[in-house]
Amino acid sequence: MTALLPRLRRFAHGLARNAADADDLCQMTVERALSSRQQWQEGTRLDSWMYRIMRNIFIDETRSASRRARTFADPDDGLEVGVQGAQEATVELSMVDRALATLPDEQREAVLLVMVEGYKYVEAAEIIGCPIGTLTSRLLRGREALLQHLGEAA
Amino acid sequence: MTISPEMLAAYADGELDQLSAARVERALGDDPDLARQLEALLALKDKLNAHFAPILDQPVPEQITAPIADAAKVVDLSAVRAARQRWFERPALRYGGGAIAAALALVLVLVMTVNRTGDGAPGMAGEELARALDSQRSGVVGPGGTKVLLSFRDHGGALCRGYAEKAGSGIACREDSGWHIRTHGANASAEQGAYRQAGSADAAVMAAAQDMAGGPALDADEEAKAIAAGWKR
Repeated sequence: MTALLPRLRRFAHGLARNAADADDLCQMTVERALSSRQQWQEGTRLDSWMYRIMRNIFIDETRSASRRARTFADPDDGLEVGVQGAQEATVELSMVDRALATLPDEQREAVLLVMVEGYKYVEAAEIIGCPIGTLTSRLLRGREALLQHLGEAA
Repeated sequence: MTISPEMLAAYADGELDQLSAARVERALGDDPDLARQLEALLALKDKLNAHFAPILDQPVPEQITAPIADAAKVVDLSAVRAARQRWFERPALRYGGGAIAAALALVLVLVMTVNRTGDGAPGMAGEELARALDSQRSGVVGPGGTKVLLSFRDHGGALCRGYAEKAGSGIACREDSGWHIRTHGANASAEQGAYRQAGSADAAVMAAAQDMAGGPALDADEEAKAIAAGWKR
C-alpha cells in the first residue's frame, strides 16, 4: 500500500480543490482501506480498489460539502497542514489547475484516470463504476473542454 | 473515410485494435487537420502529466503514512500479545517476573528445537547444577552463575526445573537418585563468550517446558515448599 501512495496522492491532487484537501482525501482513503481491508479480494488489483475508495470518498464528501455548505477541510487538521496547503494552493493554481477546476467532477475523474493515471478505459470504468460508453463520452467532453481552456498553449 | 473524435481519442489513448489503428493512421496521412487534432490531444496528455509529475517525487506527508504505520503496530502488538497469552493463561507462570516475561515476549520457540538435538547427552546433573536446582528460587542467578527459570511437574508428576547456565540451558527432573537432565542445549552465546542471547535460550527452555509440563508452573509458595522438602514427590 505504501508504494501506491505517491500515485494515489497525485490522483487526489487532481480531484480536490487544493493541496490540503487533497492530502486529507488521501489520508481518509488510506484509513478507509485499512479499516475495510477484509473486503479487498486477494488476486484483484489493490491499486484499482484504492482508487475506487478514493473517488467514492471524494464524491461523498463533495456532495455532503455542498449540502452542508461547509469546507471539505477539517478545521481540526493541524496548523502545518493548513499553512502548507494554503501556500501550495496559491503557488500551484496554474493554468492546468484552473482548467481542470472548470470540469464537472465526473469528467475530471475520467480525464485523470485515463490521461494521468494511465488506466485503460475498461479499468477506469470499473473504478468509477460506470459503463465503458459513459466513461468514453465523459472523457471526450472533458478533454474537449480542457483543449478549449488551454487552447493553443496545449 | 472520416475518423470520429472518439476514435481519434481512443487512438491517442492506445485503446484501438490493430486494424482500427491502421485505419486512423491512414486517415492521418491524408488529413492534416486530423493530424493537428491528434497532436493537440497528445500535447494535452503531456501537459497534464508534466503538471502532476512533481507530486510523485514529493515525500508523502506523515498525515497519510501514519495510519499505515499505526496499523502495522496494532498487528505486531496483537501477535506479541497472542504469543504472551499462551503463557500467561497459566496464572502460576506470572510469578517468574520481568525477566521471564521479557524472554517470552521476545522469541518464544526459537532456539530449543536446535538445542534439544544439541550436544548434551541426557544424564545426571553435575554437582554445581544439582546444588542450584536443589536450593535456588526461580528467577534468581546463583553464585555459580546458574539461573533457575521455573519449576513444574511433568506429565508423570515428577518435579522438573528449567535452568540456564553459562554452558547452556535445559530442563532437569528430580528422581530418587537426583536431578536427571531431560533436555539440554549448548548456549551459542556462551561459546562466543557473550551472555547476550540468554534471553532466547530462556525462551527456548520455556517452550520445551510447556511441552513437558502436566499443568501450570509452580508458584513461589509451592516452589518454596518443594525446596524445603528436598524436591520429594
